[in-house]
Amino acid sequence: MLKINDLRVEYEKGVPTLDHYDLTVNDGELVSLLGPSGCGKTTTLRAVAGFVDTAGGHITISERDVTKIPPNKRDIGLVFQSYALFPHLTVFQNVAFGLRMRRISKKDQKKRVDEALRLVDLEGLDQRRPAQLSGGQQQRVALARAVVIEPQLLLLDEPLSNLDAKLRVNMRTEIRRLQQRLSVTTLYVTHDQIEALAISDRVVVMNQGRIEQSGTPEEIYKQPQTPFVADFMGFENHFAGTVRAIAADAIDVQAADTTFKATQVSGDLRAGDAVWVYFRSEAAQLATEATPNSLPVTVLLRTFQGNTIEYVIQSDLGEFKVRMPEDQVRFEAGPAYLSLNPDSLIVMPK
Amino acid sequence: MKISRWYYVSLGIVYFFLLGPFLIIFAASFGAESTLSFPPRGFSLDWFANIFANDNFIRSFWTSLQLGLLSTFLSLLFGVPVAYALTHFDFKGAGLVETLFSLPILVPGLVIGLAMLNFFVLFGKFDMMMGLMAGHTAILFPYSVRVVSVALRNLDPAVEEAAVNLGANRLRTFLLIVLPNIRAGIAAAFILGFITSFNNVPVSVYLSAPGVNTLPIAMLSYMEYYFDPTIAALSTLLILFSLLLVQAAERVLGLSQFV
Repeated sequence: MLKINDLRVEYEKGVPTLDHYDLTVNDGELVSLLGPSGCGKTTTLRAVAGFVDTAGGHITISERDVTKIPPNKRDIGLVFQSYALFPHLTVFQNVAFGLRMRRISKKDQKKRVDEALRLVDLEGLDQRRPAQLSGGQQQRVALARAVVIEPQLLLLDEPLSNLDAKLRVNMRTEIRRLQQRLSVTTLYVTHDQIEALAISDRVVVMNQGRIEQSGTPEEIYKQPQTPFVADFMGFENHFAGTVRAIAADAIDVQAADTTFKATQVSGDLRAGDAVWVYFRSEAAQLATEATPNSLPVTVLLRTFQGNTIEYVIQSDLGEFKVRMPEDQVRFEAGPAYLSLNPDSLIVMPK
Repeated sequence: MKISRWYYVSLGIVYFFLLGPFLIIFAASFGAESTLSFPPRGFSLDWFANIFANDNFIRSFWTSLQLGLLSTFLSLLFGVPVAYALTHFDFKGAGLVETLFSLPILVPGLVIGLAMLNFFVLFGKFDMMMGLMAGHTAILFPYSVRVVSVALRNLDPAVEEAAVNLGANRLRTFLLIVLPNIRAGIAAAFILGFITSFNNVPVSVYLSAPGVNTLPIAMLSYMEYYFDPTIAALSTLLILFSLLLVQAAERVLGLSQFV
């Protein structure tokens, strides 16, 4: 288990990159840190690995406080973005390096390296040098090298960002399978939301050194709790409104001349509060006549996108994007109604 | 078309002035007459034989060889740790240190030689060879630091971190991971250093004495008395020696990526 308590990291004195930072990764869990570059996700990972000095707080791995322990004694497996294989050593020697540093006998080294290489499907390549391998193969060597030492914690720093799109999807599945088979506690850093959703038990969205939201991939995808998370998770549309009334199962939000019913609410709201209402382009519908929860709009543009049709529409609440299945009735430029399902509207404090 | 013609013309001029003198020396070293002349008249290898008959040349060649190897080795012994520190630690005054270490490149060799001589004379009795060694080490040191720094900067810092993460301490990381990966840079620094030391005149001229001479100094004093093609023959040999060394290095290490 990894526990980070009240962590503070300063690259420049007095200017914290991370402050009052708390994070727990349970045994066998894969948690990904997701956020744009500069949000502090890599700093968090490097602090756990011991490559960044901490200015306060504690990092505990399996009940052992490692905050002041040098990086070579932390017993962590680490996979780098650039793989960082040792160019002058063979695949076998690369994977064996950690065992060699732990003074494991030659015989056991051989046994464990062979097993690790089998685990990542690299049997028979043990005498190659890194330069003779493809990007995907190098990535597997880096993985084998990190897990062969049977670490208490596995850290992965954007491990797929140097691979092409197709390979990325395959490797993602393989990393997840390997992690589950070894049930190793894992912290995974990425800026790619789809990758984070696909691979994680839990996703932690970070912004400017703070945790915006932490939850299961589904929670993060469906119920963002802050505007930042909603934007980052691809909610293309939002408008401002005011809370009118609150019931047990729904909330009424007034925007322009329309009152919308919404069921997805984040945070404590009271009548009169200013709020943002977010919705995804594929969760909205165009209609020919007014329905409950609908808004008169003008269709500006229609574009064909394969299995969907995307419309750009104008309303009193601003410009929106709507994506509808390709086989549904098409709308021409001109007046229409935007119909919003109460379950697809996310309301959060402004 | 015009541009490319001018390009070839200027290239021709540069080559003429760069290589012309070498060709003249090369041709003159095979001349039969006893004064250095061009174009040479006759053909003779006597002047090459003459080199090997001259004790001073032979002795100073060995001095230069020893001096070159040892002072290059010493400059690397001090230079590698300094390059490591400059590339790995962000400390106050790093810029000043870098400037200080490049002083021997910026200050004219004659000034360094004179300063060194005065410095050693202050200690009274000193060994001439030790003086030469110290002087040459000082002028080679900045080259070693530069070339090794380039090699160190070319190594992905994550590679070192990977070694540390897997349990290696700083020293083992350096010996097992860093050193093998900067081998080519160190070899390049060694060859550059050796050639620089072997060809050096301005520092050596102050620090040599009748008994202890480097080859270039021996050649200078020979020319004060004789003007026969022996010097041309010796120069031809030295040019070939340098060319072989650089070619071998380029073939094996890809020297040109470091300079």
